[in-house]
Amino acid sequence: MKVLTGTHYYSTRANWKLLPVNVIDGSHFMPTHITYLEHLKDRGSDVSSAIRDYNETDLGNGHTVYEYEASWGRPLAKPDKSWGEEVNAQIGQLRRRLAERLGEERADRIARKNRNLVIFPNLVINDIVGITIRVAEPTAIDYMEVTAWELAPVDEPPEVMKVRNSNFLTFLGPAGLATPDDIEGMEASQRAFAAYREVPWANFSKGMALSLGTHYAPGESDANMRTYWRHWRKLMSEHQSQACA
Amino acid sequence: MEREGTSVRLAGEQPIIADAQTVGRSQVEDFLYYEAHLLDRWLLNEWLELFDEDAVYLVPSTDNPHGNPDLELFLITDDMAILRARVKRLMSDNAHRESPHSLTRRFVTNVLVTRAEASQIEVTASFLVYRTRAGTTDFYVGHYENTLRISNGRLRFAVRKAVLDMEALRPAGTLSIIL
Repeated sequence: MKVLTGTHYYSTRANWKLLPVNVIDGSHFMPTHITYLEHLKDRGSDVSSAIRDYNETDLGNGHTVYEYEASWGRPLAKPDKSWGEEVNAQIGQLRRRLAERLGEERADRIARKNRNLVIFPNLVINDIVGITIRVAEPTAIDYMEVTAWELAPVDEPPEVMKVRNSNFLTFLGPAGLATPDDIEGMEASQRAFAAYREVPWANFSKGMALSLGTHYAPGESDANMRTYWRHWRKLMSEHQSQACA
Repeated sequence: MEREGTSVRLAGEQPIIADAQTVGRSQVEDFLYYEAHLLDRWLLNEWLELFDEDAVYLVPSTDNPHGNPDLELFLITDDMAILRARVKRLMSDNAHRESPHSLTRRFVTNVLVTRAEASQIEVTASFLVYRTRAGTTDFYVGHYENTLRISNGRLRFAVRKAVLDMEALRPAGTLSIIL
């Protein structure tokens, strides 16, 4: 893999923890990214499902990953109707090479599934229509500086690379068709947090019934966010008890 | 007062241009000012008509202004299909970052025709764009490296490249408007 030349340096007027929490929140996708889905539909992609075959994993120490399949394509390595026969044939070849190298089961997981990974506390790797590495750094309680890079395979054919780059930017980045709406959501939330004395709690209880063995719909659990915030609370309370000792 | 969704016609139709080599700076300025007029009024579908079908709209990353859009990371590398999707999005109520639309005011200056051939004209210009929304005014400063063509006797964009003279998209945070 390689990190491409060119860096996205941007910022968000919100607390830095909202970036990792946004990334592991499956529920925000549909209401936040309507215009992105319309674009996929207009270009002829399959948009029947944004999130299916879904699982979320507590990796320990606050790290989490949220893994799922979307009905549209991935440059590595799931074809998309809108990318044309030539590009899809090359993606098919990349998929076969993955299976030869890693076995069918692992190749299927790599090629078909998206991964939203949070390395606690502030490093994000989104392996979706493109792969982005993002770091959120706080400079004030309500302002973060974000640095983002694009990760790509070194041996990708140039035609696939072009599709990868275009799909990366159509969704991701501060000038994409989707990420600016995530940022709008974070900044609107931050403005609302000014009312914390009157509204002291944010609710992350969705999907808690899963632990009781009850079915829930994919993408409708807050489990990863609970993992993140519980670890944060643990670190903060340890810090407080040390400070008091 | 000028408002969103209203447009003035430029004084008279622009004369038909036969040959790119005869295009002067004032004609290029008229074209760029008319474009700024459309953008500041959010007349984005009319703005799309200023592009040739094979045109591209590019904004490089701030640390890589001379990069390759196919192989390196830019901020925007729209072909016309994606540019139309961007405009459709921005004109809908579901582009949360721009719903309601921000107020923008752009200043386009220092227009230079750097090269004029029979088929195309290369133009540079400086820009300063203010964006105001939700109590905050942000700015973008940079320059255009545009390539224009004569298409059916009118100036049209072949390459519309906005290069930021900034180290980062800060504090604006996003580039949700057309630059």
